[in-house]
Amino acid sequence: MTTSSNNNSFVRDGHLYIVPTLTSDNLPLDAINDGHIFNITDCTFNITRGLSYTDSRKDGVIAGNTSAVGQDKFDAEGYYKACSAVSNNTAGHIINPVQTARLSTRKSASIKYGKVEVRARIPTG
Amino acid sequence: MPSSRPPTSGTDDVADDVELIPPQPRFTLHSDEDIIRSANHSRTTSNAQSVDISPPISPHSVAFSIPVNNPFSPPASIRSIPMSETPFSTPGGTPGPSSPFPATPKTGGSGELPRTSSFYAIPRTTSFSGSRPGTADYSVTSFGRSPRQRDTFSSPPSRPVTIYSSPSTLKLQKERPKSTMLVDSDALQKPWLRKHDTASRVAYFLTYGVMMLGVAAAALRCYFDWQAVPVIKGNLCPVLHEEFDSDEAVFGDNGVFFREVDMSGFGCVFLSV
Repeated sequence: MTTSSNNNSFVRDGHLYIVPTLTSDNLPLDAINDGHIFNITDCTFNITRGLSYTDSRKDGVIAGNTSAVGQDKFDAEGYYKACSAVSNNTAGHIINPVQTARLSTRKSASIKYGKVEVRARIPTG
Repeated sequence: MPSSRPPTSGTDDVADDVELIPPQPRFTLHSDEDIIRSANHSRTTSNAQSVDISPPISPHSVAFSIPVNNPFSPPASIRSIPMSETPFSTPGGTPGPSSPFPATPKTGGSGELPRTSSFYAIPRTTSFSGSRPGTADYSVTSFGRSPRQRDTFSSPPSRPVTIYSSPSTLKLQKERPKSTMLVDSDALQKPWLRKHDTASRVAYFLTYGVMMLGVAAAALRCYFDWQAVPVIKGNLCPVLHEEFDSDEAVFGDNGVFFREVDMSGFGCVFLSV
């Protein structure tokens, strides 16, 4: 589960932090395991259409902003799958137990060929 | 050493008319081929003189070509030790169960010696060289000997009493027996002395040469592909330079980074149908 929460991605002291947290900090553990419907806030499925902008599908949207508005067919199943989760003990489904963040520059910058320099600290383990 | 008769094939000189002539020894002392021929698990004895007592005969000793008068006489260190006859009356009296060959009823010194022997005739008692079944004087010793011959009975009791043991003499250590596994040296093949087959040489080098050619071609291909990789070296324009100064600049509405929010994760990405 990737969120827009400031707990998972924030800037401090000139550094960008991407931090994973547990869903059980927000939800009780019983709810994660059984009998809960979880809807994530600020779901961006309509914008990203479930595609990363490095995907090479021919009929997919490669980059830029897209929107469900104007589409001929609304992908309801994909939307439900990408923006919500249902926990059911008998069926073996749970709410995603870990929350983190996914960042991209699809709105600001993109290149085809070039050089990327990153200074980052990788988590241990 | 005193020898009373020449070491030829022995025949009895005492009442041998009626008796069967024992099998002749199948080897001579001075030729290797004969020794090898007769070395196949048979022990024969030469006719020992009355004074000498043969040393323990082993398969090795058969193949020896010991250039002495009597090859089966005990070594000089043993010959001079006196000993009594008493311990030998009992082994002399019971040769039957332990030795397969008959004890010939010969008395008095010289004469009949057991020509054939067997590997399974191991003497019971810790006897010495003279009273072994395989030695030349076995039957002679059991039926009374001259007192002079008792000197040769003495030997250290710690000597191993097996028919396979060989006397640990200096002569023995110097003259190793010829291996029975060797074949006739004329039958050995020495291909390195012959002229080399040029066709096989050519085939050998051709095979490995073409192999090396393939390896070299692979190396060349790797190198050329490495060189052909397109690498942008110069004329790069900076597209994005981020310092993460403030949260607003990074994540705001006009921010650089866009947060993707969905329920994917753990390596899976939801694809639209």
